[in-house]
Amino acid sequence: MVMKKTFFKLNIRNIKNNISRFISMISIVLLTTAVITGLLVTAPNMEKSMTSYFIEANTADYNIYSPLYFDSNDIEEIKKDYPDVEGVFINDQIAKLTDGTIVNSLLYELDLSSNSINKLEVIAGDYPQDENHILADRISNLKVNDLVTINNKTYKISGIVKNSWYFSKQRDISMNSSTPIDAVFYLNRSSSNYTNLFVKLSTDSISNHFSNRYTDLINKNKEEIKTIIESIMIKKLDSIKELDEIRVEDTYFVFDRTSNLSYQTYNSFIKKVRTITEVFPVFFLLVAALVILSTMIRLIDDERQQIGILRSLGYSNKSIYSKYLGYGIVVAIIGIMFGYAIGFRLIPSIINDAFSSIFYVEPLNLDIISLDNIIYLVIILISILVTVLYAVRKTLKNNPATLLLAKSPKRGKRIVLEKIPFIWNKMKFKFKASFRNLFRYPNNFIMTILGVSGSLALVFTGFGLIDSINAITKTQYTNIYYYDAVVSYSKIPGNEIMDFYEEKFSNSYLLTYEYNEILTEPRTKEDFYVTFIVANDNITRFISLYDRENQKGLTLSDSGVIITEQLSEFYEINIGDYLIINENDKHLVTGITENYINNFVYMNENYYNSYIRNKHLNFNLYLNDFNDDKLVETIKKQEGFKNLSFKEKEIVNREALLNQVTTLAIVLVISAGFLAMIIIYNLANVNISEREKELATLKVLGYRKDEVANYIYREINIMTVIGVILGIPLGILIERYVIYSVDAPNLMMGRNISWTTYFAAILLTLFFTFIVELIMYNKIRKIDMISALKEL
Amino acid sequence: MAMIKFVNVNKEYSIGEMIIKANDNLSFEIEEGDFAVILGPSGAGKTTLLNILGGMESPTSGEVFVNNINIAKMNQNELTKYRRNDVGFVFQFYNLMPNLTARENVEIAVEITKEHLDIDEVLKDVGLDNRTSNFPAQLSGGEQQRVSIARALAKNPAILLCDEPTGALDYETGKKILKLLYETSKKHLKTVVVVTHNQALKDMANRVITIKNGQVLANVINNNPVNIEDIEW
Repeated sequence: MVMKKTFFKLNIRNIKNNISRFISMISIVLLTTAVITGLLVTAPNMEKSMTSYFIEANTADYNIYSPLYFDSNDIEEIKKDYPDVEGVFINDQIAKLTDGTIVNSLLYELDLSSNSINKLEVIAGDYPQDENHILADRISNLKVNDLVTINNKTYKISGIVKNSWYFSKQRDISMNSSTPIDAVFYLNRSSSNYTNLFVKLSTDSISNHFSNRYTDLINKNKEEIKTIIESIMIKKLDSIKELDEIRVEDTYFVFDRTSNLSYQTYNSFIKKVRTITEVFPVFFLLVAALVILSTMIRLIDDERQQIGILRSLGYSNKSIYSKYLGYGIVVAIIGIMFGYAIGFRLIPSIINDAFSSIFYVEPLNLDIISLDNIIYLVIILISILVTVLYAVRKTLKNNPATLLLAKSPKRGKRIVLEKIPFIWNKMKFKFKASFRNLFRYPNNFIMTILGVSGSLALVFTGFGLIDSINAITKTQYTNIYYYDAVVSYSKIPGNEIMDFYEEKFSNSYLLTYEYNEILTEPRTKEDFYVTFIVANDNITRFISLYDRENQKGLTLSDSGVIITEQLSEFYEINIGDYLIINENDKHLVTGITENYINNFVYMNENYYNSYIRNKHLNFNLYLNDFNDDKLVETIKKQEGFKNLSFKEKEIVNREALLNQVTTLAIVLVISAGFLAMIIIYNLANVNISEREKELATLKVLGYRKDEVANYIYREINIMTVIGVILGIPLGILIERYVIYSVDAPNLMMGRNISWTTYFAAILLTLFFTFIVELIMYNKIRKIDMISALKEL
Repeated sequence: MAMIKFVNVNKEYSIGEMIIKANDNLSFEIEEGDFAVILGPSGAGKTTLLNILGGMESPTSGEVFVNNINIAKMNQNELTKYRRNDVGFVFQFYNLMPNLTARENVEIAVEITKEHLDIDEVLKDVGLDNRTSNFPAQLSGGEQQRVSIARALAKNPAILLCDEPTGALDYETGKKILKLLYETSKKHLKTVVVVTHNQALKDMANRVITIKNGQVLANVINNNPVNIEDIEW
């Protein structure tokens, strides 16, 4: 249906006459689209981009390990069902650098020319030309031409490689020794024995290796692979007489990619990002729809008489609908196009960059326009059009005669507040007028309040997130960990070692025993480590044991254990309940201590001796007042020494880890801030346009410009204050939800919200209101007394 | 049959529990070619009557025949078509589109009409041929009313309805407008219904219907209508 010529002219002129309204509607759609698509596209995009890398690098799907070694016959056997197999020889090594630093490493021996699974990509230098050269993985943080000594042979690093199996900057844990790995080296040496077999399925058709489709496929084939390996192992055991006492299940381990630390942590973090990014878009859309609704209603009210004339001339309802639908479509399409262009590049890039502090991230494929993206855009478009139709419908219900009459001013009514003489009589007249006005336009009233409280809630959540993150490192490393360093030993330190500490540290040292258990988080079924620490009461000088909720210090008891807060939350256990590891392993909880990073169970020696059996123990020595760096060398040479870690270094690592959530939080605060401004501006704008006659009359009566402005400002301020009051509990609610979603096993988000967050969120909202009122002042100043009164 | 025939027309409005009867059992006829004046004090129900006749409202009960078709039973779509092709309306407060020029105000009305008159001719008839590119804000009250009349006439409707057409104009201008109405309607052979509370105007009509309290008091034919220029008030 083509619009008639003059009708079309009329529509264009209407837009031109109120171009600021047109532009502000477009800007709302733009912002909403940018934020929504940006947030929603981030996680899928990051997963797909990483998957593209996996496919390109031919990353393994399974990692099969056996201490009995595999050979080429075994590989041939597997190839019958799974053609994509490659063997490597990996073992733990201590590498020494030229400056004497000892580096726990993995050494790969493989035939570089036939390396096709987990393809190594040289990113600096070159492949090794001879037996004296070696490749180093990028996670080792070494340079080309550096020298390393492994097994009394010194190699020169010829090149740095990128291995898709290691893309996290966190240290991996070696399968054999349970020590953290600082470096991985690759020797070009083919061998006939393999410690590990990497197997690949044909997963290239799956575009997202973090999806259920991928994990389902992996799980499906795992059993079959296990069967094949088991039969191989059985044959091996049969052929070696000395090994006939060993159970076959203990001779091989089939891991799939989900056991890979890099994959696991990346997956886990992205799932967190997903949770957050999936909450906010709905909110944004609702708030935006609200604002568009109120703007459209005002627009149509303004043009009410015009609509009446057109109807009286015989224009159909359909033509009126199409007029406003056209307006809505133009606004929507311009806003969506530009919003999408900005959003789907900007926000994912920001978050991907933030991830680069913990991972070697892959560049995002920013030209992906997937079906999902289109669906989001369509949803936004439809929401806008539905809103427009709804606004038009109400007006068109009237017959032309009614439309032609100026809209009868809303009936004045007595309001509820008047029935409370205690308050009403004490109010100044100008406030009485403001309150009457507020209730006269209930739609505007409600929408402004919802808009303000919604934006406040989002800003609050953003700041609250930052609070939580800061709490983790700050609280954990200042208020919970008092120690300076920890030394780990593989066996109980001998007397000379203990004497050494007595001499150098007098009272500032403590020996503890520790062992680990793997528990499962009940909600997400993720596995996580819990460390059990056996110590005496002096532990509280090195690690604080403190009940956050009761604000009380805790002491170890003979009859039970102290657990960290997250454990009590996961398993919903309190003091007096039991922490159940398995049917033989139950511990009575005597205290719950505040803790954010990792999970611990503390007990004293008596409890350990009474109840615990057969655990593989590590020995840790906590140190305070560690001021002398020269002691480091001595300690490293001690018998049984495994690792020395300084708290200060840990803090730096941890903070890098949490950068990405901080970035996300900042993105949220800024977008919510913009949204708040646009909302308040829009609604204030609409408020003034609608009541020009009223304001012009005030001017005629002799009110000064600032008094007229205050007449309106009073109402805006009251609505803002109510919005803020409602927004705070809403913000707390949303913040709670987000915190619980971001929680990971062994990472508890800070639970307290600082008063600065309340302060900042409220202040920001008031600040936006102030800015908007400043902008509005000009508009109010321009209201012409005469012309506003002449029109009927 | 008469061009316009109201038969027992009632129009009630309810506001809360109160019911207001704007038109109370109205019955009257108007012949084709009549220049009819409907007279009555404020609140008599004249505007309501005209709105019903113009297809902008529907009566609560009764029948309204225009050119032998009962418009009282028409639905929204049919009324829209009726307003489009069969009615020309002139309002007391002009109701022009502020964003369109004089010519465009007429154009927007005739664009959707099946058969219409030549726009420039009609504008010339009402004496506005040199003001066609002006916006309503740049026109005087009298000029705006002329545009309104041109708009109504250009649609070439069966009937021309005018609600207090001179109500917002001064004495001299008002007289000129009425003269224009009379002459152009005679030229284009239209049936004209003018609603007013100004008693003096009854002499210019050939039919005078008096309304009070929503009811018809009288329906009088005047065989010797007087030239408006000769009427003073």
